[in-house]
Amino acid sequence: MKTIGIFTAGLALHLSIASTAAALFDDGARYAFIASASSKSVFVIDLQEKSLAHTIELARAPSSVAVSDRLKALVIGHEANRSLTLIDLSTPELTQIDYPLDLTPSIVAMSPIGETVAVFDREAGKLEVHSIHRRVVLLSVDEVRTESEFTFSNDGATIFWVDDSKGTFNAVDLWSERKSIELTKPGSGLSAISRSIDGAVAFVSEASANVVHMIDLSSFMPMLKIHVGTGPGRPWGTTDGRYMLVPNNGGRTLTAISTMTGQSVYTVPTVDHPVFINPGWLDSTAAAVSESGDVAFIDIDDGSVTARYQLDGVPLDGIVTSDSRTLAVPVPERGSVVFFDMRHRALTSSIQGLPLDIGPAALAISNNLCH
Amino acid sequence: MTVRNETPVSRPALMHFCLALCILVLCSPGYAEEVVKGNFDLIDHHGQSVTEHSFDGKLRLVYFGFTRCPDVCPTTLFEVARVMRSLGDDAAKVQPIFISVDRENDTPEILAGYVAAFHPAMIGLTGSEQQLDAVAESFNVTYGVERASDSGSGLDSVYHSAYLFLMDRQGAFIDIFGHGAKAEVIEARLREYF
Repeated sequence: MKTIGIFTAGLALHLSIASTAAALFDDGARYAFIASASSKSVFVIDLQEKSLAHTIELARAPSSVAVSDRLKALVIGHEANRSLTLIDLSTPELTQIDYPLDLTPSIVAMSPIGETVAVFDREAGKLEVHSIHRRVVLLSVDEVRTESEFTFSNDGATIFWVDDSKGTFNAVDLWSERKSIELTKPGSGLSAISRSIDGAVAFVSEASANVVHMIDLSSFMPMLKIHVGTGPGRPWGTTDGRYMLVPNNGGRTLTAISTMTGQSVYTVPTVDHPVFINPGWLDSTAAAVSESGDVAFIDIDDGSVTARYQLDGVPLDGIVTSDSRTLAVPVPERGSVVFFDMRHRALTSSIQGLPLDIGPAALAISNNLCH
Repeated sequence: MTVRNETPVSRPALMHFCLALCILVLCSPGYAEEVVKGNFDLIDHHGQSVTEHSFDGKLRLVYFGFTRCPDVCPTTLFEVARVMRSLGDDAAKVQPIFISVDRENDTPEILAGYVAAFHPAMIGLTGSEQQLDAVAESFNVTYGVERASDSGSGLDSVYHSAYLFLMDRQGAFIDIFGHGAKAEVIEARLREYF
């Protein structure tokens, strides 16, 4: 049959590539990477063994780190030197390549397809998208203002951001077409964007109004405003796509929004001033983490709190492994990375002795969705 | 700089340096099994009706996907095939199952060619919309299909959860592996149940 024949040929090519790509730290589901400027290092964290696997020494102080499973590459941002370092994770030598920029990389964000990175110069208001593989600039746009992170579309062709100074929701695609809509008045505390797993809808919190905006990304029009708790922060989507979980940073609650109905399902007490939420273990549980390090595990279906912990320091955003089993949370002021078992909602171990300026963890394969 | 790894929570160093421990633990470990029930009533790539009981006596590796998937599905199934080859004679104790969520494209005939490209023991399953919805709910799997004719994009858009499920000899849940799990990890876990 013709269809099968064509497919099989493509598959053989794919498998021949896959079978040759085995080396030190190129297992995108297993290793996370954490940068430290003071030590000019990137720490390779083995999420399976929950240990420090390796330290990559750099010539320059890193300010950010992103990782691509598709290219088996680490991308390190250097703000002070206006450059990137590209590290080939598929070679034992971990070959480093200098990649000069014409802007300061305040933010370096990997696209979902893993072949392009967005580089943002916050002071200059300049956003570029680079093809890492081809080492060319695909997109360069000026007058971009945001204090929060960027969000890619599922195919990596469009980048979304909010400009809280104007109260707007914005997008630009690789063909330089820009769009902007006004969501609210300037300075209302718009959060970063989270999109639904099918890529059709964006969710943005507005802290001052205690609402979450739903935006239709195909029409680029606001759909709904959903009332949540006090001072909502960035919504966090469950990987099964059912819920957006909103940390109400102005209070001590978490709101679950049904992505199907756009309705608030529950608002429940969790921790004081929650800042991020990590769903895990087949989206049956979520860890709500406060800005002071309180951790509460909730049952996602009914919002009940089932376990509490206290981290001894201010945490950075956590990451969850692709099997949804392990949550890793960096705690810079303790130089530690703390691990939780999401299945059993239990603290299991930690890595100690890292520098006190470690940044967030970057993980190549962190979701469980194919699209 | 010295870096050390700590493991059990009970170690004094960990208590002092990192964490003030658990205030309240109310959870029980039983909910994992409740999340994944593992029931199905589908059509295999020979056109025969099958349920989870059709494979009783064998451990199962169950994966949801679609045959036109360019990367995640074939990569995962390639790892499953590596497991099967590495198991040798013990492979007879394991049934790899691929459930397609793209029922319009993935006919039993197409599924037959697809799974055979990975391993002769692999079986492909499909079903009606109602059957696929039921099996997705039973495994706590998300999927969606948007046809090109509806989206106007020129391409069908398919998404689905990318977990690989390990089920026991009666079809009950044992464990999951995330996208990117290597054959060695899967095989080691399987062998715990031989």
